[in-house]
Order: sequence, then C-alpha cells, then structure tokens
Amino acid sequence: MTLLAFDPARLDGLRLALGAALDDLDRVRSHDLAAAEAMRTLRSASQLLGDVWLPRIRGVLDSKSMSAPTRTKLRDEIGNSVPYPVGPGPAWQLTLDPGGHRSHADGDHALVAGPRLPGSRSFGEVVAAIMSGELVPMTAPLDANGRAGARYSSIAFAPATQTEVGHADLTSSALKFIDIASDGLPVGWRETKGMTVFYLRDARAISTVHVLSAYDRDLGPDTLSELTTEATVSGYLVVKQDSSTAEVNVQIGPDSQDMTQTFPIISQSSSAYNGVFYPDTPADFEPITHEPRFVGAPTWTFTTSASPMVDGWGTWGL
Amino acid sequence: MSTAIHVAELRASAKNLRTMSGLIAASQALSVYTFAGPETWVGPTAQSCFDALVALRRQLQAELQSLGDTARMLERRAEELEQRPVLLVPPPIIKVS
Repeated sequence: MTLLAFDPARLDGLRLALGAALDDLDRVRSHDLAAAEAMRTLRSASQLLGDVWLPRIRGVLDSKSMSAPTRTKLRDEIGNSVPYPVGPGPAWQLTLDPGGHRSHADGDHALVAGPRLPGSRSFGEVVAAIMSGELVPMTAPLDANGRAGARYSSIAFAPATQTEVGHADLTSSALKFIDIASDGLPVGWRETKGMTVFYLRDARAISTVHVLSAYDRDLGPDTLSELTTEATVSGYLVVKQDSSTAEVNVQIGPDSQDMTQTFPIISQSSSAYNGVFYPDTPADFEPITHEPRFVGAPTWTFTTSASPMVDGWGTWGL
Repeated sequence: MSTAIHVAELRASAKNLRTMSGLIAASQALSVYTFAGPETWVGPTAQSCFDALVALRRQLQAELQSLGDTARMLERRAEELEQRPVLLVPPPIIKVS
C-alpha cells in the first residue's frame, strides 16, 4: 500500500493554479504557420494539465482520507526522516496514492526520499513518462528537408555504460506466421520489430553539422568540423529496431525427412533503427576540442534528414 | 506577390509570434510547479506531478526561445528584402518593320 500525504488547503490552491494555467494556455491562439510547433506544445500542455493532473488532484481532494491524523500519527505513518524542507503539518491528511502502483518498498522510498535516482525507472515507467510528457526529448537534429546545399545535423551517442532497461517485441502476428512458415519453404522472409529502452550513463553526445550533397554511403557525408559540438549526457534512449532477412533455402536429405530441415544458400539481411533520447537534464552542448585524446566510438547516430542516411545511422523520432 | 506585401507579411508574422510569446511568458503554466512541492503533498503521485510540471516549464521555455528566434529571423528577412535594390525591368523591344 502506498500512501499520499497532503495539505487539503494547499492542494486546493494547486487545483486553482492549474485551472488558471489552463485558462492562460487556452487564450493563446495562432494560425500562423511559423507558430505551428508552439501550438502543438500548448495543446499537449493543456491536455496534460486538464486531462491528467486536474482530475487526479480532484480525485485526491474528494477521496475519503484516513481521518485527519494528528501530527504525531502522521509522522509515524510516513516516517520521521522526511528530508523535505517543509514537513507535514497538523492539517495534513493521508490517503491511498492512486499512482502508487510500485512495490511497497519503492512506494515507501518515493514517499520519504523524494525524486528517484537517475536510471531507476522500469521499462513501463519510461514509456508512461514519455506518454505523459514528463520525459522531455533532446532537441531533434536539424533537417535539410531535402534541399541540396542546405545544412543538417546528426547526433551521435558514445555511452560510457549502456544498460538495457527493457525490450518489447513489436513484431506483428502476421510476420511471426510468415517467419514460421518460412522454415518449410524454399523462399523465406523473416522480419522482427522491437522497441528497446537503454539507460546511457555519462554518454558523449556529439552534434555534427553536414551539408546536403552527394557522398559515399560507406564513408558518410563531409562534416563542418568547426561547428561540431559535444555534451556529456545521461538519460533514456528509446530505440525501435527493424531487421529483416530474405532467404533461399534447400531441403536437407531425402524427402522423407523433416520438412523444416533446410539450409539457406542465399541470405540477405537488412536492419534499420529509429529512436529518441530523453536526457535527465537538458544537454549543454559546447564546441568540441580538437586536442588529441582517446574517445569511444559512437554506438548510435541519428539524423532527421531522410536522404543523407549512412550505413549504420538511424532516424530521429519514434 | 510584391516585395512590399511580402515584407508586411513577414513583419505581421513576427509580431504575431512575439504576441504569442508574451502570452506564454505571462501564463501561470510557467510557475504552477511552485504550488506542487512537498509543502503541498508528498508521495509518488505528488512527485510525478511536480516532475511533469517542471518538465512542462522546460518545454514552454524552449518554445519561448524558439518563438523569439523565429520572430527575429522573420524581421531580419524583412529588412533584407527592404534593402534589396529594386530591379528595373526594361521595356520590351518592339520591332517595327
């Protein structure tokens, strides 16, 4: 059981402040094309305040709290070691936390210890935080929008440590059926899709600027090295991967044997990925140093320009 | 479209973005997180709410920056267009035989 302690008067103040903020945001209107992105952000902000947090706060205020405990009882319930500058006062009440779906130990930790440690979210919590807008993505690389000679950028990540938080198989049932059926056929097609969440700790993020022009796909585009910047970041990298293999198989042994016993004589594989990085704190990019030094090779590189893709690069976005 | 109309449109767009930016900057959405701290409530939901409102503030501040940059860019473009020399088109040559 996870508990929520609250001051009803102050929580009502938060409810009123959210309502006022919502009214303020609703007053901002623009049909200007240049303001389209800002309007999208405002709509998303209004949804977050109006559809997520106002109902939750009303729910807590309307909940039947566990009486109005005395200060001593309240301190006994949530512990004496609350490390907040302002501890629970005499007017505080306790109720079951509607968002307390974590384990008992986790809940107690959150109740008394404040913000969670970086990288301690589970796969589901990361996805929920992305959906609610709690996790803010890093600014997307510049897009050349297909204009020859225009500048675009790529962001590469070279993590010091990379921990897999979780993985979800997104392969459709139809593709799984085709994969199984391919075992007994002379021509096979195997395709898998998945989403993986990694936690990158102290990763070197390198933002490189390129000019959209013809280049060798294996070598990659030329870079404007004086515009290259880098930052050290920690956060969640969400990557969607898609890999496919086309095979031409021959059956092994006489016809009486297992139909699925085949050997691929031709096999062609391809893979692609796209993803977004959600930093713990906003990245502070600075000009790169050109002094000789040892640095790790990037594990992931993203760009938003569709055409200037290089082998091994992924697309920014989910 | 004539240059003068284009310049006027760019200036109007920049003004519109600045007005919008002003409304966002004055909105309580930027400061509402101050009501959601541990002096108001304590627990997982409270922490999520505080984190979400701080993240919202970050997003809105980024939009303010972006709106300001775009408005400046549009005004610069308008100035460039105004300072561009007017091209005089010579009259068509009519051959009379």
